[in-house]
Amino acid sequence: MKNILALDIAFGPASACLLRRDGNTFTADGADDRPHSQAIMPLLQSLLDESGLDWTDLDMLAAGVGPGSFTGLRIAAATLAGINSSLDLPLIELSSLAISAMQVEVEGDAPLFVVEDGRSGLAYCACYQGDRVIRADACLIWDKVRLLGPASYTAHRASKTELPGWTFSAPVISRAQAMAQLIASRAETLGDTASMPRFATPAYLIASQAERNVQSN
Amino acid sequence: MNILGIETSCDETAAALWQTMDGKGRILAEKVASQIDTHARFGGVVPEVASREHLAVLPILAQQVMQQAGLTWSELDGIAVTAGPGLMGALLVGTAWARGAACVNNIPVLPVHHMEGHLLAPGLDHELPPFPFVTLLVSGGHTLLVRVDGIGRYVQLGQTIDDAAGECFDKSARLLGLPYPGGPAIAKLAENGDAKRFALPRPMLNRDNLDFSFSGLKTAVMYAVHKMDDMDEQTRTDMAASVEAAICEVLVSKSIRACRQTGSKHLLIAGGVAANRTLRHLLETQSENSGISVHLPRPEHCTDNAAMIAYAAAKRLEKGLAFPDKWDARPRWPLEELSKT
Repeated sequence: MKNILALDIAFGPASACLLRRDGNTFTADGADDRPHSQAIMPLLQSLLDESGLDWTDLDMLAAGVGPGSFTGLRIAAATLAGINSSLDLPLIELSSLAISAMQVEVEGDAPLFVVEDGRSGLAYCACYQGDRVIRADACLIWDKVRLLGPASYTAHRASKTELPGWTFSAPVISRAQAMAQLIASRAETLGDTASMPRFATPAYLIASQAERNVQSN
Repeated sequence: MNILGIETSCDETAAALWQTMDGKGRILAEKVASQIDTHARFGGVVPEVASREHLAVLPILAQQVMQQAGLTWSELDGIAVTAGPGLMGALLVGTAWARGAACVNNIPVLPVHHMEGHLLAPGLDHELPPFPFVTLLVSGGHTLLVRVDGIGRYVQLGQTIDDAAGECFDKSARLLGLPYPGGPAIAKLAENGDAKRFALPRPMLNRDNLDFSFSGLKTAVMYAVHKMDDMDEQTRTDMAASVEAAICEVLVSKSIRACRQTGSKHLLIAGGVAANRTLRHLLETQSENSGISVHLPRPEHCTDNAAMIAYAAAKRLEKGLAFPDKWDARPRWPLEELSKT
């Protein structure tokens, strides 16, 4: 096991976790309703303090790369890139929808959809069975999402009225805890760390409005 | 003292290393990645696109600057970052990166006002003149005249009441079928034009104040262009020269008036439009007649850059001026607030 620090700000407050080599896990979920650039470094520092580790004790970083709030994804990626400027650690990129899926307890390990509002009539959608990808993260119009069900799903921000007949499953563990579980399962299967990225690249899954306008003209 | 500067307020991603040693300062390394080509197809800066590109470029650029400077992270004394004003999403990339890098290396983050960077930018290339002096800050987003009484002591004398001069260049260029950014495109076309062919207005020149207005000039260009069914190449060239002359004459006249009214013998020019050759030439000839010394930064320090951010932070540190402990990216940040700290 390695010392791994992770951050995700895809859907509202920042969530962070630290996995220590001895198997202990430390988690923190930001209290702010919105990502707040002042709060993130103290949140990460508090995890290090709690774990008794220093920045230089870290072996690896992890980031929730989306999809989700563009600004949140960028703040997380930029913060970790700043941290990694001198540490030069390998970084695990995590799907923010996969983290959401890990927050839910599913009976019999059944597949679970994660559906989040992507604004402008779009939704981010994926299907997971535990940490296994059944349907990859995608940005779809709501009509296409509805055609995939009815099914069991979870969401942080999507309106329940968008998916009539679907069964909503509420998160039962914190986002930070779910992220720690996802990292623990991923860390076991990691190959050559030298070839891993050093900086997180947000998975926006959708072009900016201006780019879409140019494409449609 | 080694200060790493970071700038991501609009459409240039920049990093630079400023070193002060034995009372003398110098740029150890600097890099700017312009997004102009990216935004050209939109006819202006798209904030979301700008933010995405800043994130993709900044970590690499910062590493390159550190390598070029030959410094290790432990040799840094602080990270100066543009905290505002600017595009919120773009500012957040730079400030979040800076906070992370500073915390790990146990050095302070120094939030810098973008305008203060521009105001002091002439000091990057030459010794700053004695205080007080007048600075004309003229770019795509700003047109203002400031009296600089000292580091951190700024009095705004006038500003545009509508469009910035650079904006007027951009909009006029679009009317002439020229690409974004309009300033360089108009300047290039204007080289062979007759600036007297079109009698465009010189807005607010007859007013006694030091404010600017460029929206009326843009409208006059629009009417003149629409009146002509078909513009031949010479007409476009002459119109470009006429627009450039109108903008530059207003900027120069008001700047010299600002020096006269404040009794300043030194005029500094900063901002992207300060790279315009006609403006520089007009300033140099007219100021000489008025006994005013003009101080111009190198063209690469007229546009957004990180050396000016690191330099402004270094100057504030030298003067013992405080940086706030609690701060955030601020898309709007009145310059006058700096004088209260």
